[in-house]
Order: sequence, then structure tokens, then C-alpha cells
Amino acid sequence: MIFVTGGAYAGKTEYVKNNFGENKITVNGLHKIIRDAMANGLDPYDKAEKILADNPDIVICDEVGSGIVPMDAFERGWRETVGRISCMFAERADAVIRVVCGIGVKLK
Amino acid sequence: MLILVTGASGSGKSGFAENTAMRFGTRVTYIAAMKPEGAEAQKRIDRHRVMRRGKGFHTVERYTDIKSLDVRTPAILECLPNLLANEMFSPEGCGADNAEDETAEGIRTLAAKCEKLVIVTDEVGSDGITYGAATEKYKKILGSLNRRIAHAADEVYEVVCGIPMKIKQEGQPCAY
Repeated sequence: MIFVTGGAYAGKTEYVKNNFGENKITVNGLHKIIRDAMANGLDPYDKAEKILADNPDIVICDEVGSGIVPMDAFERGWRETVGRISCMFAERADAVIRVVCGIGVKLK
Repeated sequence: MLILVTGASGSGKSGFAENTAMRFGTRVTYIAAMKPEGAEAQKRIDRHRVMRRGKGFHTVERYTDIKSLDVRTPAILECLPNLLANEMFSPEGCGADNAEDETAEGIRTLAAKCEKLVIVTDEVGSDGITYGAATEKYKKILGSLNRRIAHAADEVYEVVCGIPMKIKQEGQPCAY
């Protein structure tokens, strides 16, 4: 599995399309999937394990943790969970790429 | 030679961009896009003026329409996020609907006129916050311009804690 991270609008989806083609099993927007799970009272880590069990080729997730710690408890929890689950995916990934200005920087 | 410098707020992008431009020649033109509106903006402008002091830079204040600007090489554009905000939101700007194309065209023209150009930009999409429609549009356009400029650039750097990381080199289409 290749894990692709980076800020919003950094060009992650386009990067994946250009470099890996369109026929890969891609989970795009892991940060949103985590948010939906948490908003519905589900355990985001269970959801993450389910995604991993499906063996996707590529997982794309926004980097969301570089601002001020949010006042709102849900936002705070979500932001941290996205970070923790990103670490989890990165650990299990064969390659980790961070996209900056459309450029893929290989971290792992 | 087109160089794009990105990084977080306070990461040392400007200092690195200035030193990079000075590598190309002693008479650097500094294109300042920040409007001196309010005490905070003035403080930031003053800080940058002190940083540039003694370096022999020629400062040109230009808040919009960089297409029609005539500058001597090498030059620094400081910075793209301010220029885009002026184009989108200030009365002299071209407006939100035209801002992406106008700014891209302006940069293309400027880069062609001025053989050696260093552009400073920002990373604004990593805080996980969804803002109002106007701000999200601004984020989206800035992200798109960052990608277009990075694609055209000979070198791209991300500065982290004052350390420049070269993420794109000359003749290398992609760092991966």
C-alpha cells in the first residue's frame, strides 16, 4: 500500500492519477472517512482496520494538524485521530509520499 | 531560472529567498505585494525592510497586476498569497473569478521578462479547518497556483525551521 499525505489542495489526487494511473484501488479522503465515523459515534480505529483489511493500493489523506489546537472537543479529537491513524497507515505502508505544491516527496 | 520557495509561517522562507536571489546578482529587485494596511502589516513590512537593509535591494511595491511590471533581474516576488488576496479581495484587484488566470498569466509574463525570479509562497491547507466559501476558494486557487508554478519552476524548496529542503531540482519533473 502507498500512503499519500499533504495539505488540502496540494495536488495529492492529481499526483496519484499521474504517477500510478487510474486503475488502482484508491481510498481518497481518509480524513473525511475518520470524521464521518466519529460523527456517527463509531470507533475510527475499527474503521481504519477495516480499510486496511480491504488491501487498497493507495490511501490518500489530508494533513490536518498544523494549525491552532481547536477549542471544540470534536474538532480537537478528530485532528489528533487523523494524525494517529496516519502514523498507523504510514507504518504499514510500503511507501509514504507527502505532496507539496504538486511534488511528491518520498518520506518512506 | 524560476525558483519557488514554500513553507509554514515564520519558517524562514524570506531570508532564504533573499540569499538565493543574491546568488544570481547583486542588484536584486524586491517586489513587495503586501499592502501596508494596519499596524500588524506595517510591523511585518518593517521587519522585512530591516532584513533587506544593506543588501542593496531595489524595492518595488506592487499589490496587483504584476503583468505590466518591468523589473531588472534577479527579482523576488514576496509573496504570492498576498498578491492573490489583493487580486481577489481588494478594489483594485481583478476579482475572485479572474484571479487564478490573471495571476498565473502575470507570473508567466514576469518570469519571462526577468530571467531569474524567486517566488515566495505559503502552505495554507494543513490546518484541517474548513472556512467560508470565499476563503475556501482562495485556498483552492492558491493551491492550484502553487502547483502550476512548481511545475514550471527549475527548483522548488520547502523551508522548515530555517532549513531549506530542495524538493525539485533542475531538469527533474518530479521528486518522487
